[in-house]
Amino acid sequence: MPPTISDDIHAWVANRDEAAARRVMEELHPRVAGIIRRHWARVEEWEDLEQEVFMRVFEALPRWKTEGAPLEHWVSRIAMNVCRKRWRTMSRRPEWRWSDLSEGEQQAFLNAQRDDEPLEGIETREARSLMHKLLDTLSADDRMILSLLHLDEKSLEEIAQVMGISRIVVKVRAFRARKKLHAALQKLEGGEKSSP
Amino acid sequence: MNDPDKLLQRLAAATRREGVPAADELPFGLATRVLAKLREGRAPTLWETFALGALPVAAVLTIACVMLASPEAQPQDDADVIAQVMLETQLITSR
Repeated sequence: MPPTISDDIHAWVANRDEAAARRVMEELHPRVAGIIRRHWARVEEWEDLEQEVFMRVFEALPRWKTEGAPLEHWVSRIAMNVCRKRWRTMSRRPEWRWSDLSEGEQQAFLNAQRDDEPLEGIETREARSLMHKLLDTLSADDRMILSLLHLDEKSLEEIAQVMGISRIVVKVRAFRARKKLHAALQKLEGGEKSSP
Repeated sequence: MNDPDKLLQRLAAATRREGVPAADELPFGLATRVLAKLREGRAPTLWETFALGALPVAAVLTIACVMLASPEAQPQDDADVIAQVMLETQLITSR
């Protein structure tokens, strides 16, 4: 009977069994990669982030059982916190102007503004790129809240649990962060109207 | 702008629909790199920590024992001195 992931985790914690560790990584990789890829726009940095997540997972595995959280939730929390840490290292919050957007992003902005039809096809890729640019303007914590709320569609309670803060704080911060994004969108719209 | 919140929701919905490339397999070499880094940064075991910490203590104790065990360090009473002299004195000489 093949070992379960719990068996492999135990083998790693007890004996630093590297074959078991590899099986654990294979098992967890789809979840970890999914989180990294949804929340980090730069493709060239995905693998580096995944590596950092797994480093933290394996270093903290001896503590996992005592925390009592389901493994998938625990790993997801680590992955989100790696993203949050990386967002914090961004030295400057960009301020996007209309001319900073690609043609595709500009078109996605205009279509999202005008139509009631959902964006489709190539527009979704441009919309994703634009969305990440807008999220880049926020602080790491605000970005994490809105990313979990709007991209992962998590509830306020789930976000509160991931971030270790209260539901009320999540709600207030989400409200303020959305206001900041509204301001960024209005700035873009102003730039669009004044562009030739 | 009519409704910035609606615009934001539409952009978020499009982002979710776009999705991300599936990631079923580990990238080549990722597991090897992770394991190599874990080996490099392996935290010492409890025994190693204790043994390393105890080393200077053991060294000091050893030096102290050697110093205390030396004849000069030990205060000797008269009986000890006489016994030592008798032991060192050759009583029977060979002809």
